[in-house]
Amino acid sequence: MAALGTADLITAAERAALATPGVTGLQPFLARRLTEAVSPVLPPTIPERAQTSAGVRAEHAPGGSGWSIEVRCMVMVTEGHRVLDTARIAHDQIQSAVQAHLAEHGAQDPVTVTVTVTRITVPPAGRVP
Amino acid sequence: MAVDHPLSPDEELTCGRLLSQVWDQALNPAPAEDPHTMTCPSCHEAIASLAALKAATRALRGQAPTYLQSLAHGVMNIVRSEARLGRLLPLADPVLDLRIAESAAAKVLRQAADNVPGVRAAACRLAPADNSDAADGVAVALTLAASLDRPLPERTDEVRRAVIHAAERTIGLHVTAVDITVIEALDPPHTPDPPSPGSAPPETRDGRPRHG
Amino acid sequence: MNERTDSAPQSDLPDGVLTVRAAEGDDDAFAVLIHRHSQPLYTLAYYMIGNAQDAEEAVQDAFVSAWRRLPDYRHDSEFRTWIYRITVNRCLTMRRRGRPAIPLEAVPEPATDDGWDSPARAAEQKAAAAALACALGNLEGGQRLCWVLRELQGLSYKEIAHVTHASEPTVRGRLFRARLSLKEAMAPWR
Repeated sequence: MAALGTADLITAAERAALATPGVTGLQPFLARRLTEAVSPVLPPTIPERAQTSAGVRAEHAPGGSGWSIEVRCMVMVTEGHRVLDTARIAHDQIQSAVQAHLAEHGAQDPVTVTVTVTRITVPPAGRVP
Repeated sequence: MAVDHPLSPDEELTCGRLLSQVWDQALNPAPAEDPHTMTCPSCHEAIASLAALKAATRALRGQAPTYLQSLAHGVMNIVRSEARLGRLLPLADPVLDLRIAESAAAKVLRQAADNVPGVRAAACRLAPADNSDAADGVAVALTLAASLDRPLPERTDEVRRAVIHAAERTIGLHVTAVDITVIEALDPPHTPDPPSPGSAPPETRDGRPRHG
Repeated sequence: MNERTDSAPQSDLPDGVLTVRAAEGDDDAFAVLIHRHSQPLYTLAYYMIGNAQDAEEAVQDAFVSAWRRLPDYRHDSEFRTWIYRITVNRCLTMRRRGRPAIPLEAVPEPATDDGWDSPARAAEQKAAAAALACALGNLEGGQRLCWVLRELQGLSYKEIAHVTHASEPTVRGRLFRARLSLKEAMAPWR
């Protein structure tokens, strides 16, 4: 769906992730080589398959299985909030945000969100709960 | 020791000693007592010829250019951007696809093991448990240094409990097994070795005999 | 027994444990290794290359390289030996034989010995050190390396042999020739 900017979608996912309490940042993916741009004759095409930004990868699978969003984030643990709890909230917030964004463009693709926690920090003062 | 390097212009002193050896001995930071050297005039002369070099070396050691630790920040930025995540393990949610990087979980579990007195964790690997009835079970394998003032099984049991507790309460990870191997003995707190000349790094801190 | 309520600091862990952790991705453990080893490595690089800026770069490159290669590091040598080797290779690659650590013009004449005057003594010591640094810069690279590792870093012959990929007799030979040259260079300072 070239009309729907993937970049905007990624931004929506990023914002939702960073707004989740307990998420301290996103973990950059290693820079992807766009190996699909093979021939020097044809203009390089950015595949709509996968675009990345710092921390969010979005892929649109053709054929109805919708959008697949992968978010890699860093998390701080606090009393009563395990990594799992924060990851769940992040998941739900990202999914809502992406669905809302799609709905604004009249799309209703299913959205699957995967959250990967790459780093855990424990606040300096307290003990690990 | 025979001179075996063809280019080495070693001299034999009149007393029969090799110049290279006499110098070696004189410049050794912890020289052994040698009755010959203490009384031999040609050895004395050979050693005296080094006096200026010895003094200048001492001065140079004191002037070692200082490395700013702030320079480490540049390295750490690169290191953190090339994070080694390891495997991705499932967090304990039956429905959602939530994962944690092995390296992130390992840090928390190692810290839990470290908090058991007399224990320091070294390796900490996690893998999906394939024998678990829950799809999201994780198996942990730890190696430790442990002090021997208590029976090891007691200690490793305490570590096991601490690890499972931290996995559940801090991370939200369903641990089905904790395999522990004690790989070395932990010394009781020791006094550091006397410093070698100049800015030599400290000797190994783990009490193992230096190999190599 | 009570559990400690604060987290155990990593800074008192031995290199071996830190290396295992860092190889598994623990960057805080690696930060401790950097903190512990960067000064002696920098001293080495400084005298190998001859100027501060390149020496800084060499040390930083060495640590980044070590981070990337840690998963393959097999603990058959000590971490210190391994990182020294990487640093030496980095210095050789940079191949800047370069300016001596202190410019020749800055080396003053040796003062007469009037022992009671301590500022003059201190100044003379400083000048002697500068002269030695210059003389170091003029040594053949292998000799300079062995001398710095031995006299400024305090490494054993065995460890120097490992770091430089040479035999112990070769190390001793280089050290002896370095001492001969340096002794001659320091002759005005007797």
